[in-house]
Amino acid sequence: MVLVLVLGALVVSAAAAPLFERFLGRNAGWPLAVIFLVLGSAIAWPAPRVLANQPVAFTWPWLPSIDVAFALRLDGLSLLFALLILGVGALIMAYCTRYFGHGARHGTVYLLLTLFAASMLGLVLADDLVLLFVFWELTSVCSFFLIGNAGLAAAQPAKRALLVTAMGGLGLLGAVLLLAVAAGTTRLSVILREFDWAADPAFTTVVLLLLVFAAFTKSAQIPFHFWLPDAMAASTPVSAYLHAATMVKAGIYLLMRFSPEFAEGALWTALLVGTGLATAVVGALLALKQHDLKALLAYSTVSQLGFLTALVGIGTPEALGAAALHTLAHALFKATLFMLVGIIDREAGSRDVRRLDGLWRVMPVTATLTGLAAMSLAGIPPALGFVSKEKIYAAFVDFPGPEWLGWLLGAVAVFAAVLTFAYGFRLLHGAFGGTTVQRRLVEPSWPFRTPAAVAAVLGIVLGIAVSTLSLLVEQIILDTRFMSGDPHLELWPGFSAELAMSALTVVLGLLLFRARAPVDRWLQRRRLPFSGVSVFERCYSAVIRFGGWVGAPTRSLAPSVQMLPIVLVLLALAAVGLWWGVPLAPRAPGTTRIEDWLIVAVLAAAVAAIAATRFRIAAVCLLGVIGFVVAMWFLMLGAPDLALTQLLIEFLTVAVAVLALSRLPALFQPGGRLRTGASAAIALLAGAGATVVAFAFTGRRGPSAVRDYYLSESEEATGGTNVVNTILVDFRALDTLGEITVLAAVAIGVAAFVESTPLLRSALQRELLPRGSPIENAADNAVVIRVFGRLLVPVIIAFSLYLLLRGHNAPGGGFIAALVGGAGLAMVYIASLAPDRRSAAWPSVGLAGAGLAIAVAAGLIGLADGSFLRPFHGELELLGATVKGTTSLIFDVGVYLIVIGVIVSALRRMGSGLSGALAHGGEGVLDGLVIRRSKARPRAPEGGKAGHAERYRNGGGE
Amino acid sequence: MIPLTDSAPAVLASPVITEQPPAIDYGLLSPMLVVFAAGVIAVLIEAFAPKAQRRSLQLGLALASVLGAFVLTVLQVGALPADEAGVTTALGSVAIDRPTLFLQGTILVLAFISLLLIAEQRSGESAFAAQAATVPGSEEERSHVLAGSQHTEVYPLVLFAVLGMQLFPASNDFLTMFIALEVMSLPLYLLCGLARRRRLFSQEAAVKYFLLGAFSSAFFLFGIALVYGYAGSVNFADINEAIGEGGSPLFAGTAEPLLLVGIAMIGVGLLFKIGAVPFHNWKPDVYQGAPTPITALMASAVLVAAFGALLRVFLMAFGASVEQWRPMLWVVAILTMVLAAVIAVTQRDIKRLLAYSSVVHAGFVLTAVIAASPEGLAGAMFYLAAYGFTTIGAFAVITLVRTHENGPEAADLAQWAGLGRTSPLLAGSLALFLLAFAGIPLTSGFIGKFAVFQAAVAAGATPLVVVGVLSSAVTAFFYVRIIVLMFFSEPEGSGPAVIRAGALTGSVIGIGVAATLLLGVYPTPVLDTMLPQPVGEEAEPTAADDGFTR
Repeated sequence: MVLVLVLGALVVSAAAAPLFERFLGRNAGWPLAVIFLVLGSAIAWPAPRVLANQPVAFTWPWLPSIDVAFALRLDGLSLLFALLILGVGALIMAYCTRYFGHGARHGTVYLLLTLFAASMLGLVLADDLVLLFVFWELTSVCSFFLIGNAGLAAAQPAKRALLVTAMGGLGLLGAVLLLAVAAGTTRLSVILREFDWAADPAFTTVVLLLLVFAAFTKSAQIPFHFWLPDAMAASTPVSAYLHAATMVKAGIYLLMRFSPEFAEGALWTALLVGTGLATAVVGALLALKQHDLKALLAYSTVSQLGFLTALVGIGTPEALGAAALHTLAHALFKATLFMLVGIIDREAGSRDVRRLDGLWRVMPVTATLTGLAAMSLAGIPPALGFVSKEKIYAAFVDFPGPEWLGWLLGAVAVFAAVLTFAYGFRLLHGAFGGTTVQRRLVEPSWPFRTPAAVAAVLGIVLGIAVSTLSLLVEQIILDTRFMSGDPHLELWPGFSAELAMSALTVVLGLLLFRARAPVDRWLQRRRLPFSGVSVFERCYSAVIRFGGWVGAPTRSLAPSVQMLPIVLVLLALAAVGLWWGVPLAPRAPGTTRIEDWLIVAVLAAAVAAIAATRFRIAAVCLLGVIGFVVAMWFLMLGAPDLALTQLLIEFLTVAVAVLALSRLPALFQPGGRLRTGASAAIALLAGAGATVVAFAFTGRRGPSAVRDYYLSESEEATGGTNVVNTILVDFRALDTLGEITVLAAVAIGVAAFVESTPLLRSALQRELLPRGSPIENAADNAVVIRVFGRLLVPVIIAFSLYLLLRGHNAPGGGFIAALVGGAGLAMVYIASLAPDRRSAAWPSVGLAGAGLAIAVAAGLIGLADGSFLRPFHGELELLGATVKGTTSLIFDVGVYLIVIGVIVSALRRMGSGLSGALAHGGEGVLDGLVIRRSKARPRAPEGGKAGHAERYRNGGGE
Repeated sequence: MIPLTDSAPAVLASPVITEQPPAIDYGLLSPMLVVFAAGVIAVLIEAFAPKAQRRSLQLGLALASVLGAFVLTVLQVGALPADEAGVTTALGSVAIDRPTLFLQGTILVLAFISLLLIAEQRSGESAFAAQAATVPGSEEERSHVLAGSQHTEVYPLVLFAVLGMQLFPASNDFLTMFIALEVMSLPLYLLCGLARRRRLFSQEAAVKYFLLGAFSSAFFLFGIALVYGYAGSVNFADINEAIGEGGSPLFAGTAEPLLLVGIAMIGVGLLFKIGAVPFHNWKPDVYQGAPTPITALMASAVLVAAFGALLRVFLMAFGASVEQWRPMLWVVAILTMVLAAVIAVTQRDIKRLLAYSSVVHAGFVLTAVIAASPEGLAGAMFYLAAYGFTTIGAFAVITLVRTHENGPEAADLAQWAGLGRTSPLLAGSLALFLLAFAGIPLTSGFIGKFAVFQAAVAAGATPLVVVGVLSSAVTAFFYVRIIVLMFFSEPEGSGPAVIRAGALTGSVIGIGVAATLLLGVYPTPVLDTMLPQPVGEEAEPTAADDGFTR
């Protein structure tokens, strides 16, 4: 319970931090420091129990449905990290009160720092994998905002730090998912103890790699180390707390946590020891060449984290004990150094060793504290760093493998430690040694120094009284290896190999320090051909370029380009279908005749011609040809109704298309050769595919039962012999009523559209044609059709009425009759000199409304027999002749009127505005060849045309 | 007029002539009927109500009907039989089961929030064109703007679209589903073209959406025909059964290619609607061009509906041939997650960026579809709900950030620089939404992603999850970029102009933030009560135990 309380208290204080800041200004750090201390003691309260191997645990079902619990657990390892987080946190909070200047607002920083402490604490306490991941990511996010908060220059480093650590976080997520699914639980302590890792070596390897990846990014191991020095753009308290003492240790914590499972594995050892030592050496080398004290410390942190990683990799109980001890030592001396560098920076105005000199005279206390921390860093007795370095050497020498390898690793460790020693002294000497330049500097106020002093002194005191840590380290060994081990923690362990190595380190380090000038020159000349940051940025921009390249097709304005994937999928599917072979019923005999192929040939020719032509009007005409040929085909197959419908639809389509064409350029836009070729190939393939599929599915079934039903029942039930018509007006009359209602609505809508806005009235303009061009005068051109139209239209109307009346028994009926009538009207319309004016009086909406009313009335008659739309039929003796009649004819009249209404409506819509153009000498409008948009284009609205252009100009970045 | 029955009269009985009207449980259909009736009444209001009162009438009616439908939907949860997944009605063409109710409820809530956004007006200016029929930039347009014309037709259109969305995941046969698809899509095509500003963009978007949508609908229909040829039915339960028996007796079990090609074509139609690669091309253009409130509706409710249909089709109708369609969806999911994430990185227009991000998220949800398990279903549904709230919130923020006072929305990301300094609350909400998109813990996005990925890993799709995690990394990349831009960059010039959020937009953003946080911190109530319990210890999971009714 105490764990939740501590965590909750931290979150609450995070929320309260801005309030503190409002009232106390920068001194808000004091209450926070006190809170941290109190919470630290609260966490330490159960320490005796914890150190007796009785972990404190807390569980609350958070997401029971996916079996995730809010489970916390405090064992030795967690205790160490928790104390570090809260203890160093308290120091940092106190330090903040003087580091920050007056005046500026720091509420956000205090809030984020406290929130970070909560996340970090959650991370080390979490006993649930998902919870662990949650806190892991939260620390990354807090770090991101803390870095970014430091100013404009910090934006890019913040981004890089977040992306690298979040990437590692995703690795952790992968591992968490795999473990959760494989183990059936997300409880960390259960998985570590009970899961059978040996069952699936491949699985274990994948999990191991993911975990190591996550840890390496968080703890800045090569090749992910670059983000840490980069992150020094953050303010000093943030660097000291997150990027030295705590957050970067999260990776180490993760590795130690999973040590029980992996420590014995060769891959684990090789990866961790190899990478860790490489990081230790490279980090130390880079630290040695830095002039900026903060950068020096950052690389030093990288190097020390490398040591820790290598120790965890060795995996012996002694090594893990050493890692725990060094974690503590490093947190103490590195936080101290950062705080002191911050003080120097604040007081002397620079962090560059080339500009700082001889500060020891004016700031003796600060110099002494720095010296104490540097002792710990360099591993000089009696600092805690000395003891931990001893333990590190011992762990390397006792490497569980061939003896020579242990010594080799030990040698590398000594090399890295020598470098560490050298840069430690470089720091000390660079800042404080030499002649004093800035004589007027004074020591900072004591509250500014105290936090650093506490940490520095603690580093020495704990070194002397190192045996007090024995219990803790023992417990950590137990927690990380599930076996007990004796850490032998004492300041003076007696003469041993590691003591010799320490001595060697000091001697070599001093030599290196003495030779600092030539070494420095040599180092400054050595530059890597690339830096981590530049590689990162290169990857970053490469991804962006790749995205631009991949996304290029979607930026096209042409829908045809965007349809391409769908068409290609169709082709692929057809190919797959062919490959598998679709089983088909046998083809009925006699379904294919020679004439069919003739028709197909004509169709193919027409299609080819459409593809070849550059004129829109020719394309429309050819489309009409295709329609007519298909109608002929229907006729040949014995479907006169279908043929008639197709024919009329074609005719009307051409009429309407001609009207639409008058608004479009005469020619298709010429495409590039490549594009035309590609389009042709894809179109040919798609067409061929569709043809093959259509052919494959055709002619494979006999007459259907439904057909038989209608053929046999139609005459008896309805009195009509035209089955198509009886289905429409008798059997499925309700469906037809629904359809014609929709048609009526369309007619009304189109009519309303015409009336609401005279579209494009001024957009039409005649183009200058050469004098005497035969097509110059459209009015003259239309003379022939106009004259014939006058003669033909009455005949057409009469014929359409005849079709309407006979529809029940012979090809015809309301739809077809109306289409015939509509064709007549279209002819009048197109030939007219002022089509829109002339047609203004034509009643479109009235026709549609009347048709609907008649159809419904016909339906109501049926109610007399108990059912809406039930037809009556019978024979009537009229003038000596027998006339067969049916009430469904009335219904059909309704259909007729509505379809006519729609056609009229559409004609008027398409032709509106034409008469104006015709009136000006009546020059070519209808042939579609000579119309173009007015030069005085309507002004594009903002973001309209201009926006288009801009969007595609910007396309480079898209 | 062309009879739909297949060949071989010997096999098929004579056609059934329906004499009696089918029994329809109107109570079960009531949520849809309420919305439909409201749509019809809204059309009448458009025709007869005086101009001055139309907007308030329409808005009140729309909100009341959606709310009423939601209440009815919630009431039905309790009315479902406890031991079964649900019931079907209207001759088995509509399935009312727990997934349906959850999705419908989600759709209605999201539609309600979108309606708030749609209704927002600033000094009489809505997000929609004054008169869509005028030529952009023409004199007529100007006169309509000056006269303060409004398209209150937007509300009935939205209501009809919502009706389609409700029916889409509930339909239990392919014909009903097709009708639902069209009822949903047609109003949307129109709505997309109604933007007040950048009207040419808007119209381009509408035309493109319509053309491509019609094209993919044709695929869907063709696929239905092929599947019908294989199974002899369009009913999902019958198809499932037919697949189990190896197809209709007509082909004596040799017609599998017919089924596979049919599944693929139906898949194309559905994948187009969710915008999976390579059928995603419409999304950036349409999201960018459409009025932002409509984009919000499409990115949330429509996506939920489309995924609902996809889940039902693939997990239920084609549930028996998982092994056959899984490879196809694998390819699609990987392409979707990788390509869309990579393209998204390059975007500089915020709406296009969110469009691509929506494509990536569709890829994540697809991994749950691939899992084809009750856990996958639950995960996908949770993800969709969580994503819906977040995305509406994000688009609501977009409506507030303008290039200058009274200017159009600040589309270019560069114009968003420094927003965090001038309007920390707004930028903070957007940052939260973006973090949720990125799947950062304690936001709903994380729980969703976790549930989805867990289901996929459990179903053995680990490589897919690896790809998903990697693409999450890439997406995190551009979300972070926006946050950096908002908080840590100097504004260009005077920075973006932020108009004060009205009560409507404000509440939309508030709901978005609350839902994102609540579903992220304590999602248990939703996971437990609304979703079918995925953990069934007592019974062996069987093929029929997929959470859908039959």
